[in-house]
Amino acid sequence: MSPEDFSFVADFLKKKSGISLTDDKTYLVESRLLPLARQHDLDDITGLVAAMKGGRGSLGDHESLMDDVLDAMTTNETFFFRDNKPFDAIRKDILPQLIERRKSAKSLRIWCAAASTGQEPYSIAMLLKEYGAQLNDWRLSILGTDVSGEALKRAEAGNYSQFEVQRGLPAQLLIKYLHKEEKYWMINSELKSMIRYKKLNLLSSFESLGKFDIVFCRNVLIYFEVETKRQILERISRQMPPDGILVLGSAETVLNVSDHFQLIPGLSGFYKINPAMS
Amino acid sequence: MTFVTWNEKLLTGIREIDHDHKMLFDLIEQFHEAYMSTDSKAAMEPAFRMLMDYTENHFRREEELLEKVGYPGQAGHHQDHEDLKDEVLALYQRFQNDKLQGVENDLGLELLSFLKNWLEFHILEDDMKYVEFIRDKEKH
Ligand SMILES: C[S@@+](CC[C@H](N)C(=O)[O-])C[C@H]1O[C@@H](n2cnc3c(N)ncnc32)[C@H](O)[C@@H]1O
Ligand SMILES: [Fe+2]
Ligand SMILES: [Fe+2]
Repeated sequence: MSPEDFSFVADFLKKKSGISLTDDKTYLVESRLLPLARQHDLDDITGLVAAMKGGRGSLGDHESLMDDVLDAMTTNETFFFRDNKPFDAIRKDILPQLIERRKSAKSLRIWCAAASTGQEPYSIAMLLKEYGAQLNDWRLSILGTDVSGEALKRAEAGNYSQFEVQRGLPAQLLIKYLHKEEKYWMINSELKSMIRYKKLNLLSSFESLGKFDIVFCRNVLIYFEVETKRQILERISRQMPPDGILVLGSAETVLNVSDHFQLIPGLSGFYKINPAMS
Repeated sequence: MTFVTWNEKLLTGIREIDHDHKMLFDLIEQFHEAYMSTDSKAAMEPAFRMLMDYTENHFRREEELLEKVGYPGQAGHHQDHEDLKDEVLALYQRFQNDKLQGVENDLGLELLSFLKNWLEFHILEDDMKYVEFIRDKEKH
């Protein structure tokens, strides 16, 4: 594809989702957009970019084309109990304290801010279910949000291939919380009922979501530039009570990005609100 | 979740070829995504066609390059490409014609693993041979 077409797509993506693409990702833009061009009966990527620029057809058409481009360009890689460690830490270090502090309200709200195809929220739901009788009469709710409508569709359906469940999901959890139908493993309805999904762009306002005791924002900030990260982290901090917990991905940090959070000593990837900033 | 990824070992150092190879990996990835997100074999067709068309174009570009540099193994390499295409198409036909579902008959996954393996193997074993030839030639 031409450098002009590449920079048009990269600019669009940056503005629309915060994702910043360097030009060594040209092949990725091509391999994602070529199938899309075909699907829209356009000859090639040049044709697709022209349609993106031109607002071809009715307004609705153009908007859905732009959505399709965004969907195609997001990296949705995820798996059950990704990295394991954070889930162990939630079980051993985070939940016991949080449960103690919430024992009168008996309620926990968790937000998965880049839910992708659902493996992360379902892992959290399983973890809570497995936690023990202590949480039995609690109100546990998990909100999964993502900018990709396609990814959310899969999250809501809760169907996974053999390949997807093989990596990360322990066998005893697999048979307890999923059942096999034809070639897919499907999440049982009881687990599904703990999670609500909603399309949400982290660049836009999310004040109306309310407060969350734990926020998972893993492996999404890596696609953004520092300033975007900083703004999102600050806005996330406002959706949390003073004792709320933020969980980032293993390659991510707030260091030199945001003063609104502090690393919890000894728990890598876990952050608490910086009292000096709130 | 990622089914196949390009890695540094596959680097040929020839820009257009590396670009094509990376794209092929991502197109297999997308075929895997299509396979997982739908039950309908018809819905997987576009992703498969896309992959096969791009494969064909890549093979053609590669063979043109081999012609240009006078690679002695050109005829054999062409045959490797033809064999690969035939094998994939045969597997795809079996997958499409198969009425059975379930793990025992999961030709879809078999096809996907085949695609993944052949691409990696062909690059490492066959493509790397002409890459070596081109490098040697440039040195002299
Ligand atoms: C690599 S996945 C991470 C999934 C999961 N959190 C994990 O760690 O396994 C990144 C997700 O971020 C989403 N994403 C990218 N930009 C976004 C934005 N501006 N707002 C919300 N989600 C976004 C993508 O659609 C994708 O599903
Ligand atoms: Fe090749
Ligand atoms: Fe080849």
